[in-house]
Amino acid sequence: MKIKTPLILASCIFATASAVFSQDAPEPDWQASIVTFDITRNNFNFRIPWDKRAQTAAKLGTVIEGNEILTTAQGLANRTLVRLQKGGRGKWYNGSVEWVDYQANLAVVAVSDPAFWEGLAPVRFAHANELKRNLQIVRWRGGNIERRAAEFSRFSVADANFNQAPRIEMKASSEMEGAGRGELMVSGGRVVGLVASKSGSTCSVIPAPFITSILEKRASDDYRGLGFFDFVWQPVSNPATTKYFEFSGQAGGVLLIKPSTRPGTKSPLKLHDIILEIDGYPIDIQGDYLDPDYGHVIMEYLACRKKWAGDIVKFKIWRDGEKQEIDYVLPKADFSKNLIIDGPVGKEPTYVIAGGLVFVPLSAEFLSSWGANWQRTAPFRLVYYNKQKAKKDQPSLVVLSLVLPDSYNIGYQERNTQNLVLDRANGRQISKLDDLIGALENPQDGFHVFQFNKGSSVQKIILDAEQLDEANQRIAKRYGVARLQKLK
Amino acid sequence: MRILFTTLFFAFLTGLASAADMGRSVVQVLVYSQTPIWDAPWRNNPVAGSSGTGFVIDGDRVMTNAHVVSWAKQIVLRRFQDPRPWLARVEYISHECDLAVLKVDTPGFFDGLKPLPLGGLPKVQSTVVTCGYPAGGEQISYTRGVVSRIEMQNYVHIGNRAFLSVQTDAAINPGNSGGPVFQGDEVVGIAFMGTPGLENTGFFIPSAVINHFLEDVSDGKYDGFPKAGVRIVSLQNPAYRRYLGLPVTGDGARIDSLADYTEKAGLLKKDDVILAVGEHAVGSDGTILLEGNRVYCTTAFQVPQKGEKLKLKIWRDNKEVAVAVPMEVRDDDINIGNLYDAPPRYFVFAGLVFTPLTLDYVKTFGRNWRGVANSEMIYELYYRRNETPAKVRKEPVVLATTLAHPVNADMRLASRAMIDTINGKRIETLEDVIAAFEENTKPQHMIQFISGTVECLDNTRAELANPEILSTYGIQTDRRL
Repeated sequence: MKIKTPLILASCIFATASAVFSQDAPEPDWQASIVTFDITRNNFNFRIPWDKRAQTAAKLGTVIEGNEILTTAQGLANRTLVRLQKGGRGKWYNGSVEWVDYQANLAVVAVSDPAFWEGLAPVRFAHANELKRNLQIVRWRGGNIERRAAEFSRFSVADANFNQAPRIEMKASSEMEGAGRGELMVSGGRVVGLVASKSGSTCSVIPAPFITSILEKRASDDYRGLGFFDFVWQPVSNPATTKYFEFSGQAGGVLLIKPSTRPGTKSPLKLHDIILEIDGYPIDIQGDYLDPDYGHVIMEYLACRKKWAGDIVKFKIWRDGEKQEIDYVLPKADFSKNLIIDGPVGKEPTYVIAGGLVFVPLSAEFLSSWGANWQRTAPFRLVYYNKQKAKKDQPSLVVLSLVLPDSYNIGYQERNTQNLVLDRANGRQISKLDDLIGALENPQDGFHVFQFNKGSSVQKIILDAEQLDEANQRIAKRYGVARLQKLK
Repeated sequence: MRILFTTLFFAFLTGLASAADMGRSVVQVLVYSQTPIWDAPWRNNPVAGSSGTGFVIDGDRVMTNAHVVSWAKQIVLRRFQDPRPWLARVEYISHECDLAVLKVDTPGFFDGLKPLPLGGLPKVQSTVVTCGYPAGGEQISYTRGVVSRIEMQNYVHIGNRAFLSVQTDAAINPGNSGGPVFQGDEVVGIAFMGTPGLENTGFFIPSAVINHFLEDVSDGKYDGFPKAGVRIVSLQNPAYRRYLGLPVTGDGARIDSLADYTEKAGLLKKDDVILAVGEHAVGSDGTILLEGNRVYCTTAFQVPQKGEKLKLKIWRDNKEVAVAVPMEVRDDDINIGNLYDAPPRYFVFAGLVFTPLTLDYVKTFGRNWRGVANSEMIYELYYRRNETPAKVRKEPVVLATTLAHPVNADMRLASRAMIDTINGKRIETLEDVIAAFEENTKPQHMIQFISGTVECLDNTRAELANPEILSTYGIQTDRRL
């Protein structure tokens, strides 16, 4: 007993101290962990692809282990200068983006000047069970730290927007004005997440467990990027449907209606497979599963839950009247090979100008020049290619986006000669700008013949081959175009 | 200045005086109509009253606009200064050119009314007088204006056809529709539409279009305006003209694309250059000179009647050729225009309401229907025919809505979706829907939507539920074909 008493006492004291530390320990000095970014970038108008407009934007970052700054990836594309400031005032330091993943919306920035790191301290990230209470948003504003309370709302997987890896998001409400630029959401002494955007009073926050899993993977030099499920499914809450597919009696599952959305891909999944489990998580009839960290969320997140592009995900499916198990290799969330090219982010627009005819690749960035709601406001026929399969001999598309008026191209300057998808040039099938360049080297009997896809408002345009160079020079000078083509 | 003013004033008075004389032959058209509800096709909107204008033409008939009498349940005519109502009926109607001919079966209506003669195309800047019963009063009204311009205009009643149209600054207001536009003693047009937001811009249908309609119906049947099925674009680029072997600054417009049926007929080809349509030379911008006005050459394409041949002078393979194109009436684009007078087809099965995909149906989604309708529907309506004619469905069918009942309550996709197959049968028409359900002997019906989504119904329960659903929702019959 004599021996035991001090031991028991010691363990009680230790336990108490631990509890006090985790609940009431003074918060870290956020001033030493939050930095301000000033980013200058080239803003491109993909409809005037040679035009660059410098734009500056401010955002926030946080100090992490290893003398690095973590921030969101937003606003870093086409950057020309990244500067950082600590303490909310004073000297600016040059930074360099060491790593960025636009699908994960995270970036890591380095600063080579040792003086920058003096007085800065890395943050600690919260665990999954520490995300919901006593939330605050913290940032530098006007040289002072500003704090605003926030209230947890829910976890959700980001809407399957155009070509996006499924990202887990924490929704929280806050009255902080203008948030969504990488502010820290904190609870006690830990970082709960980075505020990625704000709509109304609702903040979308990249939660800490998602961030730490990515940072750990990056530290292991084995980060292969986020994966995604490339199939399309539907809920199966209709008993008649379960009977039709002869899997009634099963607890849940969803019906596969497109085995793969990627062109030319052979999927281990088949049309009308029923997906019952993914990596051991049962899928309910709505397509949700019970995540140990985030509760009920849509099954898409299982493509990112501690899984990376190239990893194998275990599927339990119902096929041909019996349960089967298959291995599904996660494709990388890379949509740059789609019929409407999406990414990679941060590349300057490419184009070819031939006799005032401006040709660009059909890309998500080109379409997004119609504004945030481009899927509704851009020309319908161009957007609809997203619903169509690529032809084998035309895996991507080139668009005649506009005509720079000149005597050489008179007759082609009306609106009906804009936004036409090029089918052939001088008899050659056109998928990319390189094809077009090649075709222009082989005019047909002294003419350049451009044929546009069936159904276009104009299906054929002819230009004089001999006069093309002269016209190009004249047009470049008149419209202030420094380069008549940019292919890379 | 004084003389000129006097002359002008006198001319104006003369114009009004002669219009006023002829005003006795102008009648008010009072209509009670009822339009269908396109996404609940067995139902109709409440009966609505409206009024327009008409005028007496040869053959004891009254001419008015189609939109005045569309969906009419009752048409009543009121003569000038005559309190008696006269019942009328539609004898012929053309929704594409917005014209209708009415008959009055009660004897005596035409007593004392002179048929108004049709004149020609008025000159730009010449004076015209509109006559009718516009809103704002009970009596006949006359307004004077000048012809502002003459060109092809989209006729909004049908929505997807363009015809020759005359713009005037004479006031054309609701109620004027169908009324004559006078120049001297002749009717030179029928008032029919305005432009919202623009002041002093009214439009009337010129006599060329009216005469085509009257000639068409003279055999007792309305056929419609034939189409050539070509898309004509300007040919003004010097290189393109040289490519085709034409002088750089000459005339002629180019056929850029052909409708599927025109391509199959083989008479016209891409890159044919149309030098003349009938007697009209075609400019490089695609226009012809019509009585001093440059108007788009499709005006001349609209001259022949169904079955007649259109004479074209064409430049092909470096020489002139003459082509006589038989002109046929096509209804392949009927569903992308506004539909009238024929109530929508539908079939109700187990509470699922199937109806053809039409512009009128997608407009039920609201003013912003283009932003609301799913893209497959828009593509099917407007693009499929031109791009992949081999895959065109004769009558694409949509699940318009689902009438809630336990038999269909578990369906998640229950409205506004286009059908691909039912029980494995590709749905080309509404009749295919009926056959697919009726021929299925399996325990479930399987409906596959164009998006790939699948919904199923229990076969036996669906059959049993049908009468109850029809009764619950007050549907007299499960189909209108």
